[in-house]
Amino acid sequence: MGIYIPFIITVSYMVIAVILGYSAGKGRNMDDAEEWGVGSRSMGPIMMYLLIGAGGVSAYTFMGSPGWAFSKGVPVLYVVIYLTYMAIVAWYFGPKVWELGKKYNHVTQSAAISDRYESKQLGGLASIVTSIGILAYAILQTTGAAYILNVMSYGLIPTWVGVFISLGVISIYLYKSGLKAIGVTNAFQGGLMLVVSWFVGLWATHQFTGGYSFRPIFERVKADIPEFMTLPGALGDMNVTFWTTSILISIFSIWQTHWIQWMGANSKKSIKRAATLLPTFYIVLIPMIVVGFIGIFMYPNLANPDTVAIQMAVDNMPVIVAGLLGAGTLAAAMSSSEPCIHATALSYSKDVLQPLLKWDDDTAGKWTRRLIFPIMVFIIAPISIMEPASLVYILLIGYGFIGQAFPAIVGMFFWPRATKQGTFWGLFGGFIVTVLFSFVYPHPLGVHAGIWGLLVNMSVFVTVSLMTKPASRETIERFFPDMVDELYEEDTPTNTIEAK
Amino acid sequence: MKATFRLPNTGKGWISLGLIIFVILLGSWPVIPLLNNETIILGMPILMTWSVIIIFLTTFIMWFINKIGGIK
Repeated sequence: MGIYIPFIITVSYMVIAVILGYSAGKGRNMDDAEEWGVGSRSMGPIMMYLLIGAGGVSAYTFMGSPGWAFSKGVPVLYVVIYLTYMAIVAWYFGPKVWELGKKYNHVTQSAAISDRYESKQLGGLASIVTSIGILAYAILQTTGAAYILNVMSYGLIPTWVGVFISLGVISIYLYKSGLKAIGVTNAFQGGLMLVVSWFVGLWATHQFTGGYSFRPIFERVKADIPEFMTLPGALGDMNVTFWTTSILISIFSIWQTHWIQWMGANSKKSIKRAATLLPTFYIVLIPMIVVGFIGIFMYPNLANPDTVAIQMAVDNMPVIVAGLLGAGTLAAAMSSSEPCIHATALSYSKDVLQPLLKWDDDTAGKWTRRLIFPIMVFIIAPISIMEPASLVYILLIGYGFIGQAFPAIVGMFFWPRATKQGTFWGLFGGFIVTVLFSFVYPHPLGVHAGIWGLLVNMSVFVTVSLMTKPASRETIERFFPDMVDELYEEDTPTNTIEAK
Repeated sequence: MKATFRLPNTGKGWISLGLIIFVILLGSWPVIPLLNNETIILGMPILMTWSVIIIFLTTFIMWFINKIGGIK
């Protein structure tokens, strides 16, 4: 019976998440897309901090990051740095996005793109293509959740059942409470992750060294395997150029999920405050990375590096600690997959189906939350169960593409002269180059494929924009009230003559 | 028809932009090679200690820019 205590703890976490998430939307009309989609823009700074922080910290924290430390060493730290810099993006763009959304009633990134470039097709296209990356991310997290349930139940729960359990749990509260549920469950999951990460990290350190200092671990790494202490790492695949460009492409990737989360804030100030403190959340990665370094000595022949922390907990730690790690990993996986499912349902409904089927707002509102079921049943569950090797490729393409949407954002906040043709062809060119340099000729000169894509994208974006007609004066006035006269200055006399 | 990009229009705005670029450079190409060695500082590899410093420095810089009102 004792061996099932970790499993019982893991399942208890799921029960608490359902209760919290289900009751988050009490007394609210969730058939309203605004209410279900962005929680009526009602979240304060603490909720925003945990919402964005826990959303950013995925199953990778408890599986991938110790796994990378175990197999590569310090290159894993690029994740800590890029997550930190992504907080700058939230801090700078978040309040601006929120203000635009509130003023002009955009809920999603695609809606803002449609509005700025006067093209519903461009918005719909952005919605569909960026959803590839977002859904691939949700699938990876669901696979991680199913793996945890399988390990914690000692194989009693097969992967396919684990997939349906984790998606089933998410669907209950996501359908009922929308972004409110994500906010409340992420607050709980975020707190749990912070505690579990330090607890497990310090426990493993004490077990390995007899104390709580990390120094003896790294003294030994330095003496026995110094290549783990510096770039390019033990596998020799992360030099300084690749480190830098991987960080840069992450900064340029503004996810649909982030956009919608920013919309859920109750004010610009809440986003700014939350984002200012956001980097501190990512300290959660450090103890788990240390666990990965310890694993190098404890499991020299481990087949799958990603399982190093779980393996260590199950083999050497008290059942309660192992159970907490199971719950923490599951929390990390679920807190990252649920915003992806939510954002995809919301964007498909508002940006693709509503314009296509001429739905009114009431119909779109009703269908928005119902869409989570077909997305889960027909896309996420089957692909998660198949666990295709190509999933990582889909994700890579998705990441590459999300980064390619950055010029569209530049045209929204910095450059009134940007046009829909420039945005479309830039996006297209950048996407092709990213795919080419991801798979056919990987990362030339050690520069990340996404950065090559972005260089081509930006050049095409600017060139084609200068050759084509900008958006109407009325639209430019809404997005760039202080620059509209400058853009149309030469047109003004012409228009006046025509008027005569 | 002018095609200018929006740039900071105050001294504080330029200082803020400079600080953000500075903190990004601290975590990437020009600085990381200088720290790419096996030194252990505060019980951790220097790159790990540096990552933790960047976490707090980034938060501090955003707080500072909020304080001076550098970015509206």
